[in-house]
Amino acid sequence: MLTEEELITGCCKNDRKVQKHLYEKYSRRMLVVCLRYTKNQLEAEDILQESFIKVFENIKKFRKECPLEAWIKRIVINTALKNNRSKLYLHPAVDIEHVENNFNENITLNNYNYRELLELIRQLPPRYQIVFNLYAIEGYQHKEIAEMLGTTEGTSKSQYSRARIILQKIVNDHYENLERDNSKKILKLQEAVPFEVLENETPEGEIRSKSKV
Amino acid sequence: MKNTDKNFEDEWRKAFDGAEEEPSAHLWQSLENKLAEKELTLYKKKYFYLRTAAAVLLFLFASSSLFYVYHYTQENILASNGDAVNLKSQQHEFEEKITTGNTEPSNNTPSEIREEHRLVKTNKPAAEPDPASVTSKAENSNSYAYKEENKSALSNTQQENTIPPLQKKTVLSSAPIETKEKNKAEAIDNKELFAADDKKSSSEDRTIMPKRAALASSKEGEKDGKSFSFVSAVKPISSKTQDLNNLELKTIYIARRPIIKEELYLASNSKKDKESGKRWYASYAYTPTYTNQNFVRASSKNIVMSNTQSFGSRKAEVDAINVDNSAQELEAISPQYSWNTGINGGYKITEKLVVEMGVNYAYTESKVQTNYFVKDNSTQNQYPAFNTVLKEYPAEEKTIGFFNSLYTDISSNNSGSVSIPTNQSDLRTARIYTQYVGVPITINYKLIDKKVNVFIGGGISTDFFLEYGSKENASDGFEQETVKSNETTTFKPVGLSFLINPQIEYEVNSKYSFYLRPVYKAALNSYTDTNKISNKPTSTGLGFGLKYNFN
Repeated sequence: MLTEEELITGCCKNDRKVQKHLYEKYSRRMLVVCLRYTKNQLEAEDILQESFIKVFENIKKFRKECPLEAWIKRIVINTALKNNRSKLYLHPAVDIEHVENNFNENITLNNYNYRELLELIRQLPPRYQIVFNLYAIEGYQHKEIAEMLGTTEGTSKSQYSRARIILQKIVNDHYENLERDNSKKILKLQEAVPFEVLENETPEGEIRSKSKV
Repeated sequence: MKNTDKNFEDEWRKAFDGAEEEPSAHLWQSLENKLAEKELTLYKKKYFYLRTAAAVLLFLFASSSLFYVYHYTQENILASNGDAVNLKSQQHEFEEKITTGNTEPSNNTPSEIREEHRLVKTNKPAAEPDPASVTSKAENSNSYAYKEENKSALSNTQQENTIPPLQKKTVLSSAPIETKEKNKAEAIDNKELFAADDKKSSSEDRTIMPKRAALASSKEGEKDGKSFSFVSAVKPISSKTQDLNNLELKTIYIARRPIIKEELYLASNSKKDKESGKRWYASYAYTPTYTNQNFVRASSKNIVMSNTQSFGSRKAEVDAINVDNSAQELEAISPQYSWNTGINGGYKITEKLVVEMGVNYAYTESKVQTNYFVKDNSTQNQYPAFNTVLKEYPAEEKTIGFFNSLYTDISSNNSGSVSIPTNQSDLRTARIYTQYVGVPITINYKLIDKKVNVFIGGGISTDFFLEYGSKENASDGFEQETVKSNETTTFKPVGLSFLINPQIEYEVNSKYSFYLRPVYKAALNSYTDTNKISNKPTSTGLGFGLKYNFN
């Protein structure tokens, strides 16, 4: 396995094998970043490809002030933002200074894996999706986000809070749906299985197996 | 509240930490293709200025050639017209001959006369009657009819003076050539007519003559023992010539000048035809050269090796036994016998200006004496190292590159090769070579045009890198190595040179000629792709060539 240093040196010389090594090393993680900023896999792969071209073209300028992965990620994010710029015009930002905090209720994500969270983020409108990604996941400050998107800090805050509210609602709905589904399942089971069995066996899997028996 | 927010964001970050998704299998292939395209574009951009310079040179060359050709043609036309006008003295001679009865028949052969008619037809304005067609029509008539009609025409000349031009030309143009050989002509006193016409047209001859030439052609013949120049077509085209309708003798005079003009034109044209057949040629040449590679290091830094030499994170090993920490690279490079050979194709733009393009193969050899060498630890083979450079990578670390094939190994990821300086005084000899394919474009101008032609010329040559290598030298322990154009090398794929190549040519016959061509060639840009070492080769040589003209 090549070290970061070797990867940089090889890519500087346009060594295709080394470039492939670099791609193989970082592409999977970068694809997740791309997926967070897009609505589908195809769009994400386009951004990934464009980003790696930029990486290979500019790697000579990499000054090692940060880890290589962080540098690549920055390029991926910038490419994604550039790609989304046209979409952002369709959802113009409204500048507001006062942000009302409506999300007192805490959302727990313990029951979600990253793929499910990705789906949640993708349900956000494009501008909210970007702001949410930049602030909540990448860790940029609202001021930086405002500079990146050409808006004000207030707008960024507002959009983030709205994104959070939407996510909260989606998660709540999701939970409600889950509960509803579960209760439906329990009702069905109650009809199909004797009462005493249900009392003794609470886990769903167990109930199911017993009911089959 | 803040803590809650922070937890929320931390949860999201944590959820995506280390998340991975496998991209589509074809994505790398697609990316690789795009990279190749980009590199090609970059390559094109890199040589944009060279190509622009070449285009400008070609444009200048083409425009100057066109100008020269145009100018040359104009001069020829003016010279022809001038000659025609200056032939007035010849006309006066003719006048004298007529006056004294010594008129000789024209030297025109029948074929030449027919050629004159053809030319008249070519130059004729569209609206005018076609004298050639009339002539050919008349030629089909029998000679008896000619004699009879001609007789009446001539007898009526002085009395009626009303012969319709078309009828007259039909009759007179059918004069049979064989009558030229008959009796001496009776003198015709047309002196006054010549004098009158000279007064009228002395200032306008040049402009009127071509018009007349377009309208008239003539033949010389004999009628009733008199020699005439018969006009085949006479139609007045300006007020100046209106009165000629009724003056047959004057029409004879008018006809003389077009004939002279046409003869000149024919002569000029035939010369042109002769030359045009020789416009293309091909040649082969072999040129021994003395080529100096002119390697110059940008920095005076020599490499001082240490036994703990670091090549970044690689495991380059230095044989501690042989290391001399104080050793510095010493070297001397001297040119050796080199040569190039190739074929050229040439095109003569004019009689004196030639453009030539070719393809040649150039082999350059140099002798290197160096106290550095590179050893491949895996094979123990040794190769000469010279022009060693300190190459800096984006990192602060410095690594060493060599101006040979192992440059690649040392500066990339292999760990088997190291450089070991030997004793400073221990200079070992190697021979290095480069191979290029050159595409020269030159312009030559003929200074002397005789059996031995002398040209001056020059141009540019685009040189494509083929191979670099060092030869085996068993006595000094060096192995052979080569670096080809498709491998990583410090040589640029393309270089540009200018040429100065005068030429002395000996024409054996119309098809073959030998030539000697001294050549001086110098690189316009460095042939190496590093700013640490510049390589601007210069060469002088003497070419021996054989040329074949396609005529």
